[in-house]
Amino acid sequence: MKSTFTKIALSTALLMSSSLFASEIEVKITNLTKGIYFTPLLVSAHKQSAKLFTAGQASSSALQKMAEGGDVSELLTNLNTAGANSSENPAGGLLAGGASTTVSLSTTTGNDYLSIVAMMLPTNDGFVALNSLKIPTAAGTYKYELNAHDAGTEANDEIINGGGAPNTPGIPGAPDGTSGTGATGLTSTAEGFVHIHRGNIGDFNATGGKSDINAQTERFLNPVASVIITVK
Amino acid sequence: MKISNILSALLLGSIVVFSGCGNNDNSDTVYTYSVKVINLTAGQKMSPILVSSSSLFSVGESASVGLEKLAEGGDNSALLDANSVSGTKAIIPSDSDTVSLNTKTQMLSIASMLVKTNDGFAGLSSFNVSSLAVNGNTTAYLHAYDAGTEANSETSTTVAGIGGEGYNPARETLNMVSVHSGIISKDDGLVSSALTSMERFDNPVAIAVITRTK
Repeated sequence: MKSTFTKIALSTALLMSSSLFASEIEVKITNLTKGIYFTPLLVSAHKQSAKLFTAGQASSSALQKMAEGGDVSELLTNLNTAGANSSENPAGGLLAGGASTTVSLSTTTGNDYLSIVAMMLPTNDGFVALNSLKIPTAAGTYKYELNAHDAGTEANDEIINGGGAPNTPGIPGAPDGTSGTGATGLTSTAEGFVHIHRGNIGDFNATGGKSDINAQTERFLNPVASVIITVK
Repeated sequence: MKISNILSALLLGSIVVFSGCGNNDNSDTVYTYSVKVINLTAGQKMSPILVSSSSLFSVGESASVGLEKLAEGGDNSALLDANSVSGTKAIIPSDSDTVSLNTKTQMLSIASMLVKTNDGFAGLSSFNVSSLAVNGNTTAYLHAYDAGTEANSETSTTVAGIGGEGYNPARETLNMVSVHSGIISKDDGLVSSALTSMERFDNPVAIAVITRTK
């Protein structure tokens, strides 16, 4: 009799402790583009207050590092400080057009919002984003489509020069291998606020012109990614 | 014996009840969906739509030969089967076409060539309509996809909608379905293009109004 009571008490305690985990979710991210690569992704379940950016407002330095050079370290530090459940670089490097990666997250109570970010190559400060989506609570499969954003921190000069550090002009690289060199640049003005990306312009001159981006192979339209969330 | 018969009858009854109220592909319930597709582009005529309860394409994978024929030449006949239905006309910008599909599966996919492209098509992939009650309706946007089977040269000899070649079994190197990156056109600097700014598009390219009628 006594041992039965102990077992019941124990299982109740286990149930209570498991409620610390608000949900088990699986997140499948697919790059829908033909020639654009995503740098290492950051996938995070976090509190509403830990939102990564607000469209129309200036980018944080952490977001700028991600958008200009693919460096998610400062965003991850901030999320860790906020007690988020995060996955860094689930694809183990670049995610090419048409490729997918899947992340499993155990979210602790209060981390009810999901964000996903990664820089898009080749762009100056373009990034794919899911911005603080309220994670569905009912078990099931949910599908979303993500748009390309512009951090507004760097001019979209479309010069591919390896420049990936914050406040360094230029694009770090073009992994698809079809871009050009020797461009003079399209513009020297950064927009100053986060917004939906206006797209790559590119040109047809592999050794000059205004842009190093290849207009035929490195343009894109939204949506640039799909996300399937499975709530278990 | 008698009791077990009653039990199995009860069990069977409960299975029927469950299958009637959920998304159960094994049930005999036939659903009927009316699908109206409206062309939202400025200047892209759409080939007769193909509406199917089977999956028609998946980004990142190579296109089926049936999809290649649709995307390169506007011919949907190779995709037409017991799970699908074809529209009866090409849809010019601002116009629409409506089809009705009987299906046991509560998933809908749609494909229609954007005829002034090399291998671009308006598509909707496995859209879940299981939440629709009879007479309920919902809308879904169609994006422009690239079948990834033919290079986007935009020339007069390769774009079917301006008199160029339709289906050709040869495939481009990448051979992968993706979201279309758009028409460039001769108005935007691609001198070899036979297309103009009128053939350019942005997403969405079409809208589907889906009504469950049965």
